[in-house]
Amino acid sequence: MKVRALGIALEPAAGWEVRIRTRPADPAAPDGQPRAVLHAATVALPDDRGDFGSGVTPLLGPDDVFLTLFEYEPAAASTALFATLGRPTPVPPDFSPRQLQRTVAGQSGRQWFFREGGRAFCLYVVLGSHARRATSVRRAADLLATLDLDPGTG
Amino acid sequence: MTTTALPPAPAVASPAGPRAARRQGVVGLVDRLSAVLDARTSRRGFLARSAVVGSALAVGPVDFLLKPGTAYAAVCGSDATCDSGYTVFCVTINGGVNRCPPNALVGGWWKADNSGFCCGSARYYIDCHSYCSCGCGGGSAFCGESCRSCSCGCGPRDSCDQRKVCCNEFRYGQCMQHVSCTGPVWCRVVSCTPPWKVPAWECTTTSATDPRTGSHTAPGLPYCSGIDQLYASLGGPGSFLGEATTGERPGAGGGAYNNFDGGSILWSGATGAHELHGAILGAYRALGAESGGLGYPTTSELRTADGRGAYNDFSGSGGATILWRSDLGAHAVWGAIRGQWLALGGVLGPLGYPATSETAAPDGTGRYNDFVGPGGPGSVCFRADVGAHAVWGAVHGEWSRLGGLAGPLGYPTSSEVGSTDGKGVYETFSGPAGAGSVHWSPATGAHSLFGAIRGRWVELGGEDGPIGRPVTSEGDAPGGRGGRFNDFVGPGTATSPGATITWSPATGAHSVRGPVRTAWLGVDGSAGRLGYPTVEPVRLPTGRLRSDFEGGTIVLDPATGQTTITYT
Repeated sequence: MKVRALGIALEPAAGWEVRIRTRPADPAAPDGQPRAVLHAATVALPDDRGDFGSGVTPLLGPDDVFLTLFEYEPAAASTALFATLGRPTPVPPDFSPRQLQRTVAGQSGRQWFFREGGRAFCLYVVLGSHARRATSVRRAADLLATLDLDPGTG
Repeated sequence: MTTTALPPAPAVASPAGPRAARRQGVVGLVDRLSAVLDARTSRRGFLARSAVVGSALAVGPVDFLLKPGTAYAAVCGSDATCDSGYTVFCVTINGGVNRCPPNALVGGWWKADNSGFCCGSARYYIDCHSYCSCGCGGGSAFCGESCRSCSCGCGPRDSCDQRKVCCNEFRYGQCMQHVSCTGPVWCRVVSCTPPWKVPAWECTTTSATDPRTGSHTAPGLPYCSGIDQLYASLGGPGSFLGEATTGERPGAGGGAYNNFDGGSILWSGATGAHELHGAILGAYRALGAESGGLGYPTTSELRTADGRGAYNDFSGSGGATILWRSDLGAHAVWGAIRGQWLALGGVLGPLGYPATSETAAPDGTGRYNDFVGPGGPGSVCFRADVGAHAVWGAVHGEWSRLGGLAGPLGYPTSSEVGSTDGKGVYETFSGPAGAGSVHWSPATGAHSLFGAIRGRWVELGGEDGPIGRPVTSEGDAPGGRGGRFNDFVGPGTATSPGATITWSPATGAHSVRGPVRTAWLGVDGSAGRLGYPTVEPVRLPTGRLRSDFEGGTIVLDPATGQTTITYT
């Protein structure tokens, strides 16, 4: 069943939990806008998880995968950090135990900043076991192959 | 060792007190808890050499006693070890300063809402990344190790923040988006101010949240102290104060202070927290800061009532103020001098703004401040036996012309007093020449009296007597021989004086008035054959008035106004 919200759609295979939610604007930001964040994991997603997976990644087993698709303000799409056009396709050599928001023994991760349809995103993928990355990266790539991103509205 | 991670030491929303003050009262508790530590942990070695045990226990001693867990976690809070996988706080590795190290850039931020560390508001975490001296390859957003300003490691072993340093290659991505290639996260800054309000950080408002890091802390981080609260209310690092250059440090007398790029905040239990910056801060430091006589600020910087300057008030020396005006700089007034200045209306009064800080007088017995008021310069002088009194306007001009405190008039013993005829003012002094005074009226200007001439003038009734107020200051008498004189209004007019008091070493001080004076001046006065008067005029049985001089006599017939000069 396809999960769709906030201009993001994903069709997870069995064994994935996917949530797309609105990150509220910071009340201190007068011109802040709500933005989307997608979380997908092969473990149950706790309610009090952080936007980049805190609360989730310590739960990953060796074959598990977690990923975040985090949306930025549209203006970011024109900056150097988001210069890459189009979503990445993860491959095992991309991953490193150092490329984690929080280092967890045995895990590895990778982060991509990109723009698509006038929208700016960060894709962050965490593997439960770097040693088993060949398998788990394929699971992540298969899921991302179902990703649809609507163009931005402005 | 089987342990359970403890909840963090509670983030106490302290009403005001600094860390140092909060530590007080728990020292004994720390000692008692040490014995408990021995029984609870095998990490006694760490605890024994940790400099932060006291403060950590001060934050949560009850939790420590009542909840199970590792000694390290109990003392240092959650996720504080290197193998927790989190990144160290900058305050731990940057000389105690909660800001990015040199050669770092801000790469992104996240927040934890409802943080006790920020008095219930959101606490923001700002990632400082290493700069890269080369580019990133292979589509990575991170450069190689040889290009970085830091190396992967752990926080100091003896600290309560042993988290990873310069290891995690992860970027939140809301800041400095024009930079696509960075090093790993070097360390984390925390702030109670939204990062997009700090121009130097170049962050957007795109919000990221991580509630799990809300309990992370380290010694020296903001914790809702009085200083933290004021800093946040002013706009934190986005304000004119900018980023911190020190951690919160204990100050004199149990207070505390924190220095920033653009100023300082000082706190004491009696005064609360107030900021100082710019030239006022410079003057405060030059006077010894909180250890000097000014004590702690009792206000943050305020605009003066006339809108032309700024000031801070202070607690020391019976009350103190440092005032600043762009053309005068910043100067301090305190104690009795300040009291006199305030009594005269402060900046709105005749004294206006201080042009010097309080300074020792040349004779070493008193002190003074100079001022610049709407009518020109002024001074307030203090000596213990006479108190503090102000001099300004034309009276100040005359006093200054004579050398001020170093001249014959010396210290003022009154502030300006209105004359009984309502036509002028005067002020009294106490100097090397004894009592003195300066008298002013619009018609006569300001003129001084002191020494023997003034003594005679007082005997003759002063301003209210027949001599009246002076129309000249004391000057050398014609004819030399060390003589001196003042002219007075007397029975004449302001432009045509009617009396003179002369003094010479041989004759002392005596007056010459009216027609007698006219006759005396007609024969060259003290420079003539008559010379100086030797006594005050005497009324003869005939009703005539006789004035004796060194070289003769002048007799006045009041009925006709005629005078007769007789030489001896």
